[in-house]
Amino acid sequence: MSTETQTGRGSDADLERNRQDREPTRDRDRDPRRWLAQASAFTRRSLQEVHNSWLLLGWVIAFPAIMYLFFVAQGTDGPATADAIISIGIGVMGALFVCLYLFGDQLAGDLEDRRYAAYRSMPLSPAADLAGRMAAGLVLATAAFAATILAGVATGAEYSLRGPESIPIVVVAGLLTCVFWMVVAIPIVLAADNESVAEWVSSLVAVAAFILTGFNGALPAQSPIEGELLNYLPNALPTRLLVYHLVPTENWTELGAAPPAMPTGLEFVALLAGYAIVALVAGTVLLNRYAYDRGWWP
Amino acid sequence: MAVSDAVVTASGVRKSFDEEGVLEDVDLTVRDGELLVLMGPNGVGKSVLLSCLAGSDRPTEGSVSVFDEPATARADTTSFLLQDALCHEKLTGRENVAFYDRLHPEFTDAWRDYADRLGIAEDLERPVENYSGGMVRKLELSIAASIDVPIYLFDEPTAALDLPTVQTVHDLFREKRAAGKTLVVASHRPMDADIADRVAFLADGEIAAAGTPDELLASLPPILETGTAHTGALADAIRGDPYAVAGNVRGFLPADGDDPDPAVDDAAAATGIDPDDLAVAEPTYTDLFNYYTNTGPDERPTHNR
Repeated sequence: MSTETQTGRGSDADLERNRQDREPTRDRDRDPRRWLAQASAFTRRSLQEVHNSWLLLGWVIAFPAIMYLFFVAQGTDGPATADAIISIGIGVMGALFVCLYLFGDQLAGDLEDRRYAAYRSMPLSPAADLAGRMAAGLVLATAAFAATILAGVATGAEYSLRGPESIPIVVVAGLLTCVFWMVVAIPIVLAADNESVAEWVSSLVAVAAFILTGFNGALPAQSPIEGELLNYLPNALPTRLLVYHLVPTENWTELGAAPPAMPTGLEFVALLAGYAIVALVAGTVLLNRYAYDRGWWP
Repeated sequence: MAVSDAVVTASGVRKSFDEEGVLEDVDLTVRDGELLVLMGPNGVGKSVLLSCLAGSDRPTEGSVSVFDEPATARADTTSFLLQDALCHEKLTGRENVAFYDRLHPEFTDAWRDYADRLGIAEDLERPVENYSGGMVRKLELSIAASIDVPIYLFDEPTAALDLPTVQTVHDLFREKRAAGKTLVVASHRPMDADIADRVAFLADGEIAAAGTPDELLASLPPILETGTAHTGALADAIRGDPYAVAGNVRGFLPADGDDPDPAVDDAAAATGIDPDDLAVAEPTYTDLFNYYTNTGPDERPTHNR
C-alpha cells in the first residue's frame, strides 16, 4: 500500500527556519542567560505556590515563631541570652522544616503529577532546576528563621554580633545549612515515591533532628548525644555556630549550651562547607539521574 | 536521513513497566511536515509511545530517533503535551504560562492568541485548581502550541473538549501544519482522524495499521448495518463485536471481495434478521476506529507503518 501523503507545507522561509531549528543546540544549552532564566522560573514558581496559599505561607514561615512564643509563654526563669539561644535553636528547626518539608513537597508534587515527564522533553538544565528550587527554599528558610528571631526580640531575648566577622559567618553558615538539608529531601522524595509519604517523612526528620540533638544542639543537656559529636552534626553544628556569633555571653555552661565547647574556629565553617559541597554534588547527581534520566552527571 | 523525509523513527520499540508490557514491537515513521494521528482505545499505550517519541521515556528495547539522533538527545526539537502534566494547580493560568515562558527558550507570545481562541483568556487569573478538565486541557494546549519547534506531540488534546472547541483545535493544528510543522496527535476520538494526513492505529502493543485516511477506509471489509435490536444475533455473523453508530448497530462482514451481497445473505440466514433490515454501510472514521480496536490481530490485514 502506498503511504505517500499530501502534507501541508509552509513557505521556504518557514522550512529554512525549521532546518536551522534542527541543528544541535547543546552550545545554547550552556548559555548562562538561559540557565538563569530557567533557574528563576523555578524560583518564582516555588515562591508563587507558597504565596498563593495563606495556610502554607503561615505554616512554613510562622510555625517556628509560634512554637518559640509558646515556649516563652510557659515561663522561663533564665536570662535574656538563654531565650536567644532557644530562639536560634527553634529558628534553625524552622529553616530545616522549610528545606525538608517545603522543598521536598514541591519536588514530590512535580514528580507525582508527571511534570518531570514534560520537563524531560524540554531543553532544561537539571542544575538550573535544582538551583532555582534552592533559591526559593533559601528565601523561605531565611524568612522562617528571621520570624523566630523577631519573636525573640519582641519577647526580650538578647542578641548581639560577636564581631564584624560574625556577619559573613552567620550568612554563610545559614546558606550552607539550607543547601545541605534541601538535598537531604531529594532521596527522601525519590525513595517515598509518594507526595504524602514524603511530606510525613521529611517533617519527621526535621522534628527528630531537633529533639535528638537538644534544640538542634542549642541545649546539649537536653540531648541524649554526648561529647563533641554535636559540633559535627549537620543540624547542630550550624546552630551552635549561630548561637556563638549571635548571643553575647561567655557563660555557655551556665546557659546549658556547653559542653561541648562552642565551635568557634573557621574550621567548623569549612566543615559545614564540605557537607554542603558533598550534598550539592549528590543532589545534582540524583536529580540528573532519577528525575531527568540523563546519566549521572550533567 | 535513513528515510528521505522521516523526522521521527521508532524501530522495534518495546516498553514495559514492572515486567508488564505496554508496547511490544512498535515500528513507526513520522514524516516531515505531516499531521499523523495516532489512534487507539484508552490504555493501549499511546501516551507511552508519545513519551518515547518526545525523549521523555526510554524504550525498554528498540530505538527512537529524532532527526537521526536519539530522541532523548533532541529535547530542543519537540513540544510535548502530556495530559494533565503541564500545569500546576496551585498557580493561576497566567502564572503557569509565565513559568513556561521563562523555562523554555523557544516559548513565544502565541499563547495569547491560542488562549483567546480557545476561550480561556478571561480565566487566566484564576487558580488552575478551579478549572474544569476541559479548561486545563485548553491551557495546556495553549502552552504546548506556543513553543516554536519543528515537531509537536499532543497527547489526547481534544479529550474533554466540546465540539466547537474541537473544531478550533483542528484549525490550530492545520495552521501548524501549513507552517511546515510536523504533528503527532494521539487520540481515541474518531473525529480527530478528519485532520490527519496519515492515521496510525496502535493495538495489541504494536502499530496495527498506518496510512492515509482514504487508504485505510478503502481497506475496511464491508460493513453490515441494522436498525433492529438484534445485536446479539448480529454478533454471530460478523468479525469482532457489533458496535452502535447513530442509533444503528454495525459490524464487519467476513467477506473481502468486491461484492458483499452474498455475505449479507449469509448473515441474514445466520442471524435470522430480515434481509430488508440489513444493509452495507459506507465506512466512516468510527468504523475505522472500531475495526482496529474491536477485531483481533489475526482478523486484520497488515499495512505499512
